[in-house]
Amino acid sequence: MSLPFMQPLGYDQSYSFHTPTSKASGGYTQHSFNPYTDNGGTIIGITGEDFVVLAGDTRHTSGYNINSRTEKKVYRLGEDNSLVLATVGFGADSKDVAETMMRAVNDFKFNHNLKNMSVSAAAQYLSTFLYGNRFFPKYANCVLAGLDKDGRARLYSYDSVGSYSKQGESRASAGSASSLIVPFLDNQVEFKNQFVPSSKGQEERPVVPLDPVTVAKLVKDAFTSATERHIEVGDGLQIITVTKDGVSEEVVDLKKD
Amino acid sequence: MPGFDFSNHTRNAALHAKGMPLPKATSTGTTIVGCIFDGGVVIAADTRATSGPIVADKNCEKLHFISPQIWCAGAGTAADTEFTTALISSQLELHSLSTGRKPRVVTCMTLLKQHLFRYQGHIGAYLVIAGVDPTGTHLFTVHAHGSTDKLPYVTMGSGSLAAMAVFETKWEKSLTREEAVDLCSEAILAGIFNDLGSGSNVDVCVITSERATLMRNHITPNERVPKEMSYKFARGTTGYIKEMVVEKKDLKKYVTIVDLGDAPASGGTAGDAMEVDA
Amino acid sequence: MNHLPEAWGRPRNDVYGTYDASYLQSSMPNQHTQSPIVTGTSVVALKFNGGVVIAADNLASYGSLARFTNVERLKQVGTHTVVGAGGDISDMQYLHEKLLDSLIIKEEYQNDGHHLRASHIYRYLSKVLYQRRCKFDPLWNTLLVAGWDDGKPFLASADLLGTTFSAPALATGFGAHLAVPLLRRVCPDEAAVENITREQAVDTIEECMKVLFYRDARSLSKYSLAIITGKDVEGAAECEAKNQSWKFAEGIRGYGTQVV
Repeated sequence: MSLPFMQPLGYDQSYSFHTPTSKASGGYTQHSFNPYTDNGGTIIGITGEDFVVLAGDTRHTSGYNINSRTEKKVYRLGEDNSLVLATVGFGADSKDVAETMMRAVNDFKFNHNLKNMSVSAAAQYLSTFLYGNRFFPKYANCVLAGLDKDGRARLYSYDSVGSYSKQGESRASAGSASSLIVPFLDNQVEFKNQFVPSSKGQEERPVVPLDPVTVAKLVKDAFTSATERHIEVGDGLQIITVTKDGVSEEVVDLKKD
Repeated sequence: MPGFDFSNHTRNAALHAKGMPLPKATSTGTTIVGCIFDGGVVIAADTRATSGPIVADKNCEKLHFISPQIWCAGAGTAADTEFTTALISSQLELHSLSTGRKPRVVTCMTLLKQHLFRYQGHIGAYLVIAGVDPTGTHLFTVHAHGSTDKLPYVTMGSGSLAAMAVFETKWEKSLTREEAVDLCSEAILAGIFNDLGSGSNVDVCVITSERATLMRNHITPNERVPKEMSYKFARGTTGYIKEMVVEKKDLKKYVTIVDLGDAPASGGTAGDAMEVDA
Repeated sequence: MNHLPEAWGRPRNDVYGTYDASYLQSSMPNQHTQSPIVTGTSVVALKFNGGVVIAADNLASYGSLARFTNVERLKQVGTHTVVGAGGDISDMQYLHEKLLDSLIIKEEYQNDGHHLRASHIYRYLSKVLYQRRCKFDPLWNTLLVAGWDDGKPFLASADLLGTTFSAPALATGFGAHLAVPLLRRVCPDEAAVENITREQAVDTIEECMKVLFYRDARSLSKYSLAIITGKDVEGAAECEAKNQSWKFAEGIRGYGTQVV
């Protein structure tokens, strides 16, 4: 591979120190400045019947460098509700989206007689916010989760301009290693490509909600495996579990190479 | 015609201009280092090979044999480092046979730089060459464009700065074999843990006037933790739409079947033995 | 991110392919910091048990020219915070003189007994940087904010894109490649901070500045160093990279077959 600092950007295209940026006649400006970068990392979410788990690794990268081994990607949107948001992509936009959501959820509470925002309302708000930045998108891939008014787990995932499914999902993954993890979750959560052994390959294995112990194991195996095969995943794993009894957080080690 | 085949060049250039992406070569993101000590030279490498951000090989070998006492560590395009070192290894062996002398490290370095310079950097091989020959102990780096360097300690690859930081703080003019092995290992570890292009294990090769010793997986600091659960599927999980059983007697209509018999205890299949001259 | 300031914020070659700079070639008047002009290189910092050490050399480069050799890139802000800046020097001076000075003056005029701490100043600066990148008019800097905050050492980084992160050992620019491995050897994680003494931390940072002088072609052996503790900020300007050794050069003869 042409390694980034063997042929630094500054040398191979000879950046001028006097970079002209404006076209005086056209009235528009051409910029050589790129407002985005990718800070790596991966997030996943899995629901059970009445609980949901959101997890993300804690590595923050720039190119081939590790900026931090302890930068968390999963945020609680308030102390007294079940809303949890995980964001991954461009670090600055990701944090901005998370802070915007925290503020929105908080404002809602004080505007509605201390009633908490429902998970479906938060989901729609996030979509609207992301689409609001349609022409200068927040380069952040989001997974939002929480419990609805009946105590059932809800999980939503978004693209960077706000597209999401209102029905919610049973599992989601985003970020650099999502292409490694999504097929695994399809198979292990949705039982895709699995058939009932006695049915001679005729009957698909029925989908049943998973128990918390299995989900915790799946999350850890998904991340230890992604760490093996993706260079931007590793260091630590932050796991947030939402149940009717509250929200708990756990951080476990991942490989650091 | 020996050498590379350029007959597809014009076609590929046209396809690329129309937007077809270039094929992605496996690269060895890599940290490689070398260091001279009193009585020989050490080279070391990590063992991660990458294709973009994906780890292509978790335990690849980046230390290449050139001659019994000349070894080479390679960074850059994996295929280029392997083929270039193999080519020069072959040429050096023939040269050695023809002259009746041991191959020299400077000869190896010169063959490599001339080969790489001719291809103007298109052969993406970044090498650390080390060896002991009748003229003494030598350590060189060769860049893909053909430039070389001769220094008492060298680093290359995406982890070269991390590794060099270690050398710049710990290198001494006079080192024992053990000190040199430890210093090189520590430099590689700095690459493994601080550079995303490098990872997994440390390979070391020590070359003295007597012999070369390859220490494959000298340090293994990145063993995978056991998985939380088993993912063995129940027999019959794979779906199918039609079942058809073909028996051996039916097949005999179409092909000749020769029974190989049971495998012998020594391993391998009966009838699998190679024909050799009497 | 690349260690060369002029490459910061540029589309990365390995992600987007070789950058097409052809359309940049024209003779129009230039607008400031669509590209950095006079630049500073690395800032390095390390937490220890009781504070933070931070250092940056005194060089301002104009391309490959070592233009100014006594520029102060560390700035004390308030009572227990130091901000170190790499990248464009004029943007750094704007941050220092127009933003941070007036921020502190306004805060102190309140006279309410409240003082801005490191985390507050860091949050302010990261928001400024992020807002400016959203306006497509970035401040071409990478900042380290070091301080004593709420009874603990504080250390975090923010850059021209508004990217923020924190770790017990940080370095910007070339230092991210060369110094961070050395710092992490002493301080692999937050738990290790407790066992690092002030002397150890200063020694480690001095070692980093020496290695950076050896290997960063845009660096200087003259640097400033600040130590922030619960008590105060101790600044040491005009430090010189100590215990340099060039003994490796003795035996070098040419680059290939030359032997004498």
